[in-house]
Amino acid sequence: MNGIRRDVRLRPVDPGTCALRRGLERDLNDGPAQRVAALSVELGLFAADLTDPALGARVAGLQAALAVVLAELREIGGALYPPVLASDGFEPALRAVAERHGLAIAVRGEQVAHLDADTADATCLAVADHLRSVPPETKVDVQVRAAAGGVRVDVTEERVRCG
Amino acid sequence: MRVAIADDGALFREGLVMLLRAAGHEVVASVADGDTLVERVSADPVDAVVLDIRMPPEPDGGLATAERLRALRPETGILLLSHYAETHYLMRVLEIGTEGIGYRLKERVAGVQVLDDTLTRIAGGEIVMEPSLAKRLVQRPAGGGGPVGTLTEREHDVLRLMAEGRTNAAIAKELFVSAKAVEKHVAAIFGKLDLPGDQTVHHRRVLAVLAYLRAGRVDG
Repeated sequence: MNGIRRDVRLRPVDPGTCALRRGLERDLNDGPAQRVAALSVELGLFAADLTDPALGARVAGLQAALAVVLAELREIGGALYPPVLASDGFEPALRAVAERHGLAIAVRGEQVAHLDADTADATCLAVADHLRSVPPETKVDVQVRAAAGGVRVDVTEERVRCG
Repeated sequence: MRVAIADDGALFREGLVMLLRAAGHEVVASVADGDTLVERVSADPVDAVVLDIRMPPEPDGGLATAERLRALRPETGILLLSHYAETHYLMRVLEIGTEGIGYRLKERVAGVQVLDDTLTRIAGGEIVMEPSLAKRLVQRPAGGGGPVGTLTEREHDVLRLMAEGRTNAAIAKELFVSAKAVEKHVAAIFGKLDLPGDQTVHHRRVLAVLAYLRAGRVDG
């Protein structure tokens, strides 16, 4: 495969910012997202009592509008802190982010399985922030190595024609 | 149907209880965490459970609870709900079981009919997955490793449409071929992916899709 290679400089995310972003995503999920989902259920119950099909269609329209709101909240939440990062860690989280943006990703390095939670958070968020700016159909190679006082991450990108 | 629910969001949980009752089901437990649900369901078996993926025990209590429940009472249907549609969670769900299990977005089951249909299919042994997830899988870059890489381009197309949950008839229409041709492709896919022949067709389709998901994971 021929493509353009370029090296990327990641913007580091400090521990305080990581914690803040994680907290905001949680607040978004437990607050507005949960409330909007409950509102949609409320509308579903309301629709069950309706006999007029025209009113039923209007309620369905409202539910569709709420689904759009939730999709937008989900987009913001995922950008703040990928949900898979909290539950499954560094590599699955990067794969999830890459998939969302239509990227092919390879995550390599013996360090990957042994990152402590803070390093995994900071590293994942830095790479994830970068992935959001990468055009779709790019192959991204993420290599993690041990370095003095932390880890060194090399990201290589290659534009590919996929399909 | 006898149903139990666990979700730490009280508003949403109470709404689901009412939807289920409106659909004529009996809600025997409505709790805020997975451990309490397992306790209740062990003492008083149900036909199906509805679990929020992100609830206590943290961080993903729904998945841990589904695992325990499947080991404890394999015949109980399991519907996992989330605010996020993630392939990774779908794979974890399919690792817990490929029968009588489902993964859907919360707002997509917010109606009496759709919730009833989803639970009925799950209690009947089917697997139900969020359609938007299947759509995203189709759009992502294609890979080529493993047995999935040995599929022809046409077989790959058929498998992608299977991942979207399409029937053979729908696949035939989409690809402008006969239903017979699709059947041949599906049989070839099963053969190449080495899927056990003693399973039901539905089960084999799910296993084929699972192989497809796994291939996407390692191809990078």
